[in-house]
Amino acid sequence: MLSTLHAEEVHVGGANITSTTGRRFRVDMGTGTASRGDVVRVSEAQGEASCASHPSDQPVFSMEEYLPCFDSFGFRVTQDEKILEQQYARAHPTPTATVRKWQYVLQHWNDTSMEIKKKLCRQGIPQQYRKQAWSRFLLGGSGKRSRHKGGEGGSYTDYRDAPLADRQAGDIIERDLDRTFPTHQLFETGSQGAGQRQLRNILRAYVNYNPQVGYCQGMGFLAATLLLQIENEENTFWCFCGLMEHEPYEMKHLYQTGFPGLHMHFFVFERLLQQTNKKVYQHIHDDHNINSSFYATHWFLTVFTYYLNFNLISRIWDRFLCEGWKPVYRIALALLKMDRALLLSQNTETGVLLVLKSIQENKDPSNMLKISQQVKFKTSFVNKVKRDYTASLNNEKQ
Amino acid sequence: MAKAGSSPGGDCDYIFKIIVIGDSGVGKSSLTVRLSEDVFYKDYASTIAIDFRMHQMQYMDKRVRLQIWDTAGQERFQSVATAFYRGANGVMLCFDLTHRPSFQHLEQWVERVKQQALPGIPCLLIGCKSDEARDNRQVTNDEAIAWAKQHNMFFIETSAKEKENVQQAFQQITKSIFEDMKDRNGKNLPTAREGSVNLEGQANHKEKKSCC
Repeated sequence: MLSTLHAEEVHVGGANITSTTGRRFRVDMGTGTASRGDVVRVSEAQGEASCASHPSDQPVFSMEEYLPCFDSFGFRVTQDEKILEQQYARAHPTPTATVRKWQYVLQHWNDTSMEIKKKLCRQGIPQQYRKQAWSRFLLGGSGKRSRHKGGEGGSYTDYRDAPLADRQAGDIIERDLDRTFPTHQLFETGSQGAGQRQLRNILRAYVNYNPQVGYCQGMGFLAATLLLQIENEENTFWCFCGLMEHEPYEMKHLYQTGFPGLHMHFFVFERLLQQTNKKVYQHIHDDHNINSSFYATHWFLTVFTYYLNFNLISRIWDRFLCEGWKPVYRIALALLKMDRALLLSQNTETGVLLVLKSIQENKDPSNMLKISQQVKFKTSFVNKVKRDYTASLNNEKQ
Repeated sequence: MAKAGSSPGGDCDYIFKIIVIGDSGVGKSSLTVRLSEDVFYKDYASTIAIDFRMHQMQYMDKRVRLQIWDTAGQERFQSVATAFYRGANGVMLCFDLTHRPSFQHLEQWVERVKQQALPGIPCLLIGCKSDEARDNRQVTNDEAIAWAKQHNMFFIETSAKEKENVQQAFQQITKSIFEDMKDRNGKNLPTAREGSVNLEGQANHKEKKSCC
């Protein structure tokens, strides 16, 4: 069973490893064999897989079995997954030419055209340069864009240490710390580790930075994603502000009361789906009355960080931070395209919903990225749809 | 695709839509995951906006499919949940037995149900985390029962972790939905909720639902 899975996963690209939420890990505490805090039996969604792969004739309770394994980003994985990741990395070393190109681009950031950056980002930013490249995109070329809101902002420590006007926001942040990337060693449930402390600081600081938007569930995944790449807490905070406040991301509109930006993205996404994959659109939306808010909310609110493997998330974010929302639409459309036959074969609402619910699971990352680039639509079309949406809102108001 | 591929069609006599609401972190997702997947996750990510789960069950001689809409607890997400309230046949109102504020906020949740769901919709009050309540109970069984009675609901204490009363809770809400259906048919109340976007299709109280 494991060897088949193994072979398949190598074949599909090796990064099909785990998700950020740990939902593929089943921790069965109903058996009464494990007590809280102990390492409990972990089995994967499809069949048993413990952290150390052991032939069945070995003792079941070897210590080795319970040693935690982490992928290169720090997410808890099974030992098989760890081996796969290492094999994949060895088989796909970053080409020296790519490294040199990135060295050059980072030194000549403002003189490098957007077209070149786009091309390079689509190939993926080498992990060692993500920290710098992401910061450049989010903070503007000079790296200072977000530091002062309207020219008279405070310092990070001011925002971080000021008491929260909205006490409820503070409570919800606390409750979410344990539940953001819960399988990552820095954020692990019950750990109160360094990652959780930094995440708390960043999220609280943002509530003070922009009290109108405040805190909303989902933001933690964005901040944690940045924290894992940017590493430094204060820099992460300013990058997070860039993501929330500035073009082309402006994620504050997605999270504001009423979620206006989210509804706009739904509208655009549905039009694009209608245009690029009409049959699936009709099947989901017309035949079964399922609209994108049923299945795509976390795709947009967390820019795919809620489910996917962190390596894949980083690849998607390379594109998102460079180009804005277009690659996000592309990935969303690619997911539906990849499961087109399965979706169309469902003839009940529940069937369609279940396919949509798990549509981001078990996808080959390189294939997903490739297919997303094959989904063609024009920026001018997106802009037109956005204008239509704004106009329809204005009409409603009148 | 194993989960989705495992014949989500199947046979059933009724489809009931249930919305699960309550403060953030009280244990709504753990409750519904225990029902639908029969597992308990120690490390479960916060629900963003809404999540969907399905459970097939037998009630008397009827095959019932529950469509469970698990909502995010943060108040801001309530605007997203409107469509789900409108389409629901039953409500599971959850609070955390070890966190008194989540009990005190129940009035606000009930108010939302009144505003957004079908009038008189069957509701069940659920006290979550009964396992942790053994050492750290902040809401007594008596006061929860009193509150439920006052609001014309049943009350049940559950532990998703120890698999305590989870099936029973969903059996109870299913029973209430059947009784409600009978009442409504008896009194000949209007059934189809016009304008209930998205979820109307099979969520009809009056007619026997053929889903497959």
